[in-house]
Amino acid sequence: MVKSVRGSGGAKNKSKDKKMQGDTLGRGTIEGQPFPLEPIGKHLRALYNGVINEPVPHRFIELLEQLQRSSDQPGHSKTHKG
Amino acid sequence: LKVSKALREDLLTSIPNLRAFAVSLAGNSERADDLVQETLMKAWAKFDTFQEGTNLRAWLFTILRNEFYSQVRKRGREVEDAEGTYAARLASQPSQIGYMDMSDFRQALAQLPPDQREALILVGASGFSYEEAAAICECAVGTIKSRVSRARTRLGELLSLETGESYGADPISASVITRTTA
Repeated sequence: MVKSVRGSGGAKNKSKDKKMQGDTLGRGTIEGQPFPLEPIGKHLRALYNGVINEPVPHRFIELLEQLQRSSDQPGHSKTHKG
Repeated sequence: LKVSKALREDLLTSIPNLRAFAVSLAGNSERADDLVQETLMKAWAKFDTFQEGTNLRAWLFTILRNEFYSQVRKRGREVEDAEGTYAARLASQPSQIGYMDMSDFRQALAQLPPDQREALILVGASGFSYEEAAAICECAVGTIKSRVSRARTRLGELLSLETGESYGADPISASVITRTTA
């Protein structure tokens, strides 16, 4: 006799969907790191953020404006309207 | 080719991140900015291949990284100037955090193999998930994990970090998690 298998947890499967990131993203989960992660993380970010916090050089703002202008006028990249 | 205003703004706000990553790859800051310039131009030229709504930053990082390694190949040089990584940036950095000297840390970072340094920076500083970092570096997630792990181990050795210290909340993962779920 075959019992019908009731999906007792059909809706509950959703709980599996919760982000894997918490598990895969460190917190010493990388095969039990035998040394402290914190000082490395701090220093790494201090270096990185030092650059991030610099103002965007003007050349990039100009570049984007220039790219925008050339997209606005299809065809030739003429600088002046004749 | 029309680039939406929103996309242009996103592009602009990605520049600081791109620069920070470029400096970590190229070292000297002029070359890093050239890389960023090249990246912006390439990105603009192929925005039609970018799916709006997907991760623009990861897409840009991929372009920048490919550009960097293609330059390295063309010039027939190994990744150069690792010593210069972040070196010119001292002025904007604290000289010391806790007991560890910043220049010691920078030197240790420079001694890492480029692939390990890159993985460590993408995950530990840029805030990408392992999955995103793997996509950017075009390798397996496991490869990124192992590079990050080896990088951390090596840095720990170079800096003679003692074990058992500051385990608690790990700001690397904390920042990664907040950023990727934001």
